[in-house]
Amino acid sequence: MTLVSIGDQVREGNYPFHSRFRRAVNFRCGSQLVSLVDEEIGDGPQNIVIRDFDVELIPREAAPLMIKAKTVGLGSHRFPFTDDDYYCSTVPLDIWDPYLFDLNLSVLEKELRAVSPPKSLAFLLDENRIMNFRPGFERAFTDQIRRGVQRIMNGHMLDGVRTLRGCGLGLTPSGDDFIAGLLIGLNLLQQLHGRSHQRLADEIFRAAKAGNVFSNSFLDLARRGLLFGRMKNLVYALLREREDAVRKSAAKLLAIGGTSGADLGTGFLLTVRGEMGVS
Amino acid sequence: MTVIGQIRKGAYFDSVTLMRVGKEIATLAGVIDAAVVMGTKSNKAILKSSGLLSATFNNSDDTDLLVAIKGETEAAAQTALGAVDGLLKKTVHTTTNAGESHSANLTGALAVIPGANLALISIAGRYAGDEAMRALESGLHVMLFSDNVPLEKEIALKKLARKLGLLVMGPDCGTAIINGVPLAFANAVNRGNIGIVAAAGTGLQEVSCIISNEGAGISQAIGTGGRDVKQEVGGIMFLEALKALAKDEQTRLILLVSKPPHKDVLRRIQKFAKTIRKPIVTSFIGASATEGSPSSLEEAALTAVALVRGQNSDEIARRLAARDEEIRRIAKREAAKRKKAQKYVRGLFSGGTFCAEAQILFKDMLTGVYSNAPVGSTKLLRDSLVSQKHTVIDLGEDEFTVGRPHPMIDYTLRNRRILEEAADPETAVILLDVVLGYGSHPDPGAELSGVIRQASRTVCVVCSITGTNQDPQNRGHVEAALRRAGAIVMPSNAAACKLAGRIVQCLGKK
Repeated sequence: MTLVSIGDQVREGNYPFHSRFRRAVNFRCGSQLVSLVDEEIGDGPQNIVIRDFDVELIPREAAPLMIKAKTVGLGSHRFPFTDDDYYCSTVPLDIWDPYLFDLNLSVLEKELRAVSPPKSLAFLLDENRIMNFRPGFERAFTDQIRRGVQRIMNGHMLDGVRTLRGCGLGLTPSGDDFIAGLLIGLNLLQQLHGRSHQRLADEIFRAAKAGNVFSNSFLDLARRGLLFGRMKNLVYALLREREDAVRKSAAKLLAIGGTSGADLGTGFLLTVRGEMGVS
Repeated sequence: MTVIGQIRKGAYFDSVTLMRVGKEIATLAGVIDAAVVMGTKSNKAILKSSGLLSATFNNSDDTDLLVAIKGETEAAAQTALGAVDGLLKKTVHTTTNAGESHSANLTGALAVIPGANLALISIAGRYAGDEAMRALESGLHVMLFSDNVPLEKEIALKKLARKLGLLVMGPDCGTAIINGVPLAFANAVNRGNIGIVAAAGTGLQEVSCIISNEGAGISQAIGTGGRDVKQEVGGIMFLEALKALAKDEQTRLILLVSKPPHKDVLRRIQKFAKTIRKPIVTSFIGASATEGSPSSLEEAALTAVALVRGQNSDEIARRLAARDEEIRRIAKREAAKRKKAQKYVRGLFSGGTFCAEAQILFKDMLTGVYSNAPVGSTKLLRDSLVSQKHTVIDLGEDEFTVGRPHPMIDYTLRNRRILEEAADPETAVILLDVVLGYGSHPDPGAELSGVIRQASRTVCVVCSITGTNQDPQNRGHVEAALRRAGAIVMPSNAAACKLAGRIVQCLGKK
């Protein structure tokens, strides 16, 4: 196993073991989460990407992750790194074409409508997708999401965020992914138009923050405009690339998790298109 | 009606698992609805509004996993709750109404079918090798559909299999037909006395379908995975499969199909082939052909049929030469319909072997051929999404399949690309393969007709169909649908490629 990249938000310190999955092992120190991940998951502000990652080779016992003097240590494994190995989680916005951006947003919408997983929040873009949800719990879930988004669209941002927070299955529930997309969108609008939305983003983060360490970490990064690799590539493509590149980046985003990529993409799209009451 | 709930502290699962488990619980007898969610406030509100909130959940927090079950009776709900552990671990599966049994591991599967002698493994490559090893140790032949199995593991598996007298088909083996049973992507073909060994998936499908459509049949079709004939693996399974067919009483002729093996491997195959008394026909796509050896998959299949029937293979050469005349005639007619600026072929393939065969056939017909999977003298495309001059694309390459099903199943990307290529004023011909059979798209005629109708207004659309009338999609029906939409349908990939090349040659003379 060798180190491929290390996120620019990973700080030196000792991180006790938190949880392990097939492609990621998580370590947590206070509110900061650091993840050892494989190349498929890829770059992120708090990710350490390992080539030939094999979860079975990571000690099962609770060995802490140690990051010190340009070396990541875990049990008997040592991964030295240099400044060149840092992944930069911000998107440079010096050049962008507003006309191209608008065109590319419609490409992103088409992709979200066409290839999002059936049970993702893309039903907010395409009413026909509601048929993918079973009556009962799943329909109650879509009602709750719709209620939250409607509240935001009607100008009650924080109330809507509280309704969406923690709504859905899994480690980062759909509602949290949607809010992360909203925060990333806000940050982008702020940079593109030079109008500060930071105060609002901070309030949204506080309203969305709960007991889920994964969501909290993810939302905090989104609030600060710090992006994981696949999202960064999409934003870059939207601003500067042709339709094909947007489609390719969107496909990679949509492949994240069960529905996470699509949920985040939906929140992002609605926000940057000005439909969430912020322009 | 009753609702029961259970809290599981500190249990983390991804949303896909929770979705699957919730859905599976909801299908159990006596269960009205069910949900497995993290214990956030919002989720509790959803549970409440859907009538699934249990008083048990009052003491839960965001990091707890909640299991909620609404049953017709308390007993039904409790039974379902008892199944949750198994579903989460995915070690126990239920029996379907059709009586088909499922098991999540090899031991369980062997308990269900104690006499089984072959395991088909299709799991993440990282784990597939170990599972294949277990299967071999249990005395089973292995078909390893999974890719991304480490090379060292493949070699170890194949060496062990050879020692045990077993076959390992794969890794990355997409098709096989064993004792008449089609495995993975395979076609419904006649049973007969031609045995196939192939290190090329769609190549195996093409030759087996042509043989069957000619009225002959297949005894066994053994895939080895493309890496088997590389130097590192040394053709271990190609040779073992050849040995197996040499011994197989039903097999009277052996057909070998592959992209060019490494020269050492080829030498080994040739040396071993000399010891076999049965006739052998080879089609090593792109390897420098010896005089008289087949120049395409189609010719190899037709030659095999002729030989097994005791006919002279020269008859096949005459038949194909006559067909080439017909191709020239069609090409002239189609070229007359095109504008002066239209000069390029754009081949959009779902089968990697077909993409390779197209490049080999174009080598002597066209100059300036580009591909995302270049073979021989073809140049590498700068950007797979943007065609250059004559372009042939393998849409099954990883760059197109991230987060998507294979293009034989999902036509979305290719349909989009067809329309893009048709809109390019320099495109003269769009060349397509349509692969039928088990696992492939259930209705390619309907899926392609719309885009072909639109594209054929401005360009010539040439298709080949790999399939039989016994396939679930029915080759005849698909062919009729494609012709109605405006496509020219050729009997093989080689014929379709030749027609596409000839049209462009005619345009060049315009």
